[in-house]
Amino acid sequence: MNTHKIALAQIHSYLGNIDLNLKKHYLYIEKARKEEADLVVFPELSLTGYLLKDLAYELSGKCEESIRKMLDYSQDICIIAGVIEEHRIGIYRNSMVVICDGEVKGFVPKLYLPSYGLFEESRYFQEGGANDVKVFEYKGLKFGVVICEDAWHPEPVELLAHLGADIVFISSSSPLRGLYDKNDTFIEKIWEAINITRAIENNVFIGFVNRVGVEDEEYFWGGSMVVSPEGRVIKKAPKMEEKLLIVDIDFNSLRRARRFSSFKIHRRDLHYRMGEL
Amino acid sequence: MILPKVNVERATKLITRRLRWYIFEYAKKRAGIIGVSGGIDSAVTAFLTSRALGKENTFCYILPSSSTPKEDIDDAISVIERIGLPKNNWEIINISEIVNVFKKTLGEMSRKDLGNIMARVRMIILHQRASKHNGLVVGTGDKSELLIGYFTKFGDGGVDLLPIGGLYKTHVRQLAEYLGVPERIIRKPPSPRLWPGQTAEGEIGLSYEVIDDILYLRFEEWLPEEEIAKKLGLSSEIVNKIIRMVKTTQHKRLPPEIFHIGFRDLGSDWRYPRQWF
Repeated sequence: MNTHKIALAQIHSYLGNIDLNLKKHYLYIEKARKEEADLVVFPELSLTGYLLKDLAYELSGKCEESIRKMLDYSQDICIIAGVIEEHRIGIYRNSMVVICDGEVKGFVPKLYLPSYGLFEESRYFQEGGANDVKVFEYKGLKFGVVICEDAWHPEPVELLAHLGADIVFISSSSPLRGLYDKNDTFIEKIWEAINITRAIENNVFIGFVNRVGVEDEEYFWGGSMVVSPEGRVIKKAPKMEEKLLIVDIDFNSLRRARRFSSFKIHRRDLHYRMGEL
Repeated sequence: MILPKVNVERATKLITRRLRWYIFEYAKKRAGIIGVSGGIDSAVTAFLTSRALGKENTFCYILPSSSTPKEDIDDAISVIERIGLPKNNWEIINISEIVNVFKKTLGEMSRKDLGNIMARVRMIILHQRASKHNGLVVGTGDKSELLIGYFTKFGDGGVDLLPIGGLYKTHVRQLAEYLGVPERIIRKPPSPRLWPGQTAEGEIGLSYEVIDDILYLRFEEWLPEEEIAKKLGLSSEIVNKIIRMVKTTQHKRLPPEIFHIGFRDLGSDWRYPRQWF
């Protein structure tokens, strides 16, 4: 098959209110199913909300319960949702859960936990390791997921691309800052640049799905987008409002891009040297 | 000026959405209550609140004292007329008699003490009206005033939310023009009118353009004071005076200090979000 339909669910989650968020997930999963999407991807910590502070310790049980409920929603569709995972007793990870056809296929933990400015993730979460980076396959589509800050570093997406991913989803909770001057804000421009760069340098599709709406002092800006392996922004969701972005992924574009790039060269020596630092 | 201009369209969109969400969805109230003084901050706040919640859910109160010039009352009325508030949604309540009772009961006091009493009397009135109309008191403080502590603690500081608290005074002027606030209000010098002849810039000794540049460079660009002085062509004493105002008024921006006794107390241990559902 040369095309796949994917759905990016740019939603407003309610901080700490998992029951309400689960209902919203269900709504968007059903919308995606109606559109005949193979996959529906939610933003980072979509089930729990992002700026949880000490609530982060108390929500993993409820997340497990919700994941069990989502198994029933996942017939004939793959759901990728943001959860808090109690990895070991009392040790939590900021993860994406991958659920397909009534089965949990795995958890993908965040690798780079931002702890500067408003972010304090390493206070609450443990970061994942290189072995947690994995490629999933559903209905012939090979995909990987990274979480927000992971995309600000080249290695996670690069590793996924070399492990076989054709599309990498970046699930994010990026808040709006610096509403100065006209046009896009600095953070919006940076995200677009990152998405395009990760797509071109690794010859993969990038599906960036960002939260939208209020959480305490912050406002998440949305602006989810899909970038082709040739570096073109194929489709963009509006900013500051909820949206289910449906995009057709065309493998011909992937072929074209890979024929015209140095992607297949993997310079192990550079990575060995990096590993020695 | 060094301070970049605010993106008026997007700031307006952001603030109105947040107001709607905070009052209707988070607080589950129906109205916004604003003390309208005839000055620029309360004018912009009233325009934004009525855009966000609708005229029928916006209540404005003009609360003159013996030190309020008549032009301020006229300007406040012009704001209400420009917004087109229904006649049951606004009132003029003269606070002189209430203030006189304080004067008589408490005896001789400085003009500053009396000024603070006026600000606190207004606060009490606005909260009573908020309770009557099932609303929240929408504060009118801007970022410049909040940072240098140019407000009365528990007076104009005694509010439920501060929608324009992320905008410097210079930004508020830009927003005022965009929103169509009457020209005379945009042009007149800012003043709390706590005593006759008082102006903010006269009292502080600097124009808001300069104050805003100092605050922006110190706290958003992280520049040291000496470099700010050099960049703005000011003496380091002047820059230091503004920064000192920020530091010494920190207590006005925080909840009262609580002495910790138990294992987990309110304050630094108490890391729960405001939106705690």
